[in-house]
Amino acid sequence: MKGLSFAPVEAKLDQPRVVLSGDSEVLIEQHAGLFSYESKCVRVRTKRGLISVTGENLLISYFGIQDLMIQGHVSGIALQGETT
Amino acid sequence: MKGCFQVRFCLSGLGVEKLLNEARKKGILLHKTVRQADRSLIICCSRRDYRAFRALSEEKGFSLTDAQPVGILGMLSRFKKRRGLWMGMGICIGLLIYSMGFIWQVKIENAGAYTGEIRTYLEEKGIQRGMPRAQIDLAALQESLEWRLPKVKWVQVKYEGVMLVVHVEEGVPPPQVETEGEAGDIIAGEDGLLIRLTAYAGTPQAQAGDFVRAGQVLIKGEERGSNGEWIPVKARGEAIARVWTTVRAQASLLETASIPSGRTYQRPVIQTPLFSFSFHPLPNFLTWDLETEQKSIGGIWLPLVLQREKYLEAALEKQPRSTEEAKEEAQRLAFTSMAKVLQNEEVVDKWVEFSMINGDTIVATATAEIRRDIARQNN
Repeated sequence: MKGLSFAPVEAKLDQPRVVLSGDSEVLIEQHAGLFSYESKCVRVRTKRGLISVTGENLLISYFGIQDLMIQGHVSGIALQGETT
Repeated sequence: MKGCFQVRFCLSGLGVEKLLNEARKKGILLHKTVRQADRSLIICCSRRDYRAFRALSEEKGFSLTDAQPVGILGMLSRFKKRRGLWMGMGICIGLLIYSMGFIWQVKIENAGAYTGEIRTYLEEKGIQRGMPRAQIDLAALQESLEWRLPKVKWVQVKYEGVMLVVHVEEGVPPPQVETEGEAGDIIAGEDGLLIRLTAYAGTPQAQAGDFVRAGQVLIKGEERGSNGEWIPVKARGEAIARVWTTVRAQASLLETASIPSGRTYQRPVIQTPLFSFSFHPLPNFLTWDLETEQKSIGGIWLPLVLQREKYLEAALEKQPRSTEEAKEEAQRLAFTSMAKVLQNEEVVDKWVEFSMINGDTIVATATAEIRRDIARQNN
C-alpha cells in the first residue's frame, strides 16, 4: 500500500466508508454484515470495527451486498474498535 | 415500476440479523427493513428475491408470515375476487372505445363570416353530433368546402379526439388600385438622396440610394393590369429622402463707436407726466452722448421733475472688432433663422461654414441635413 499512500481511503480495498446526509440518512459502504438492529441503534460490522448508528425510528431502507442505507433521525455515529 | 412488483412480509425468529447477513451473501437485496419487535422485522423486497429469501428462511428455521404484494399489483390482487368490478371495468373500457368511433363535437375555427355558412353546409350533409366517424369522408368534405368558399385560402378538416375540426384560413383580398381622381405621377418636390420609396399605387421609377432632382418622376401613375396592359392610376406613395437646406447670415467686422471731442453743454428741463419743456435750446452738436440726472421738485401731489441734461459732443467712427466675435454673431443669426425655417422637421445634422466678403464682413453659411417626405402629386 506504500505506492497508494496518496490515494483516497475509499480506493483502498475493504475500507468502510460512511456518508451522512443531513441527520436523516446514513450510507455505509463496504460493510461486512449486520451485527444488531434496533429502532434506536443499528450496529454494522466492517473490517475496521463496528459502526454504531444511533437515533430514533431507524430503519434499514436498503440492505445490499456491499452497502446499506439507514434512514431515520440520526443523532450519532461511532466506530467501535477492531472486530474479529 | 420497481415498487409495483414488491412483496412485504414479516420475518420472525432468533437472530434475524444473521439471516439478513446470509441473505446478503446470497445476493438477496432487501428494501425498507423495519423492526417490529425484538424478534421480528417487516421487510420489503422484490418478488424474485422473496422466493429466494423464503427458501433461505425455511432452511434456517425462520418463519415468514403476512406476505402480501405492495404497489399496483397489491392493489389489483385485493380486487382479484371481485368479478363484478372487473366486468364493469371491462364494459366501461369497451364503451369508451366504441364511443370514440363517433363525433361528439363539431368545431369551426377561424371562419369569421363564413362560420354560419359552413355550419349550414355541414347540417345539410348530415354531419352533426353523434354521427359515426366511418360515414365521413374527410378529403371529400374538405374539397367540397374549398369549392363552396372560393374566397378562403384553404380549408382543413381533421379529427381531434372525438371532435371534428374545420379550420379555415381566409385569403388576403388583393389591394385596391387607387383610381379616385385623375391619373398622375408622384414627383420629387426637391433635390434629395432617397432613403426609402414606398409606392402604394403606381410603378416606382427610382429606388433607395438614388439622388433625385426636383421634378423628377418617382412613381409613375400607371399599373400593369391582369392582361398585361397598362392602366393609368393616380400614383400614391411616400419618398423619404435626405435633403439639405442652407441659410446665410452676415456680421460686419467693423463697429461704430462714439469718440468724445471734449465739448459739453448743460441745460435744465422740467418734466411733467404730459410734457417737458426747457428755457434753453438744444446744443448745436452734430452728434452727442447724453447724461441725465433727475430730481423731484413737486412731491407726490405735484409730479414735477427737474432733469439736468449734460450733452457730450462726440464723433461717430468705424472701428475694427474681433473676428471671433463677428463669427459668433453671424453663426447665431444663421442658426436662429434656420430654426424658424425648419420648424417640426427631423434634423439629422447641421454645421456652419464661414467666409469673408470685402475684408469687412463675415458670412456664416449654416447647412442642415433633414429627413422628409419629398413626394409631390403631379396632376
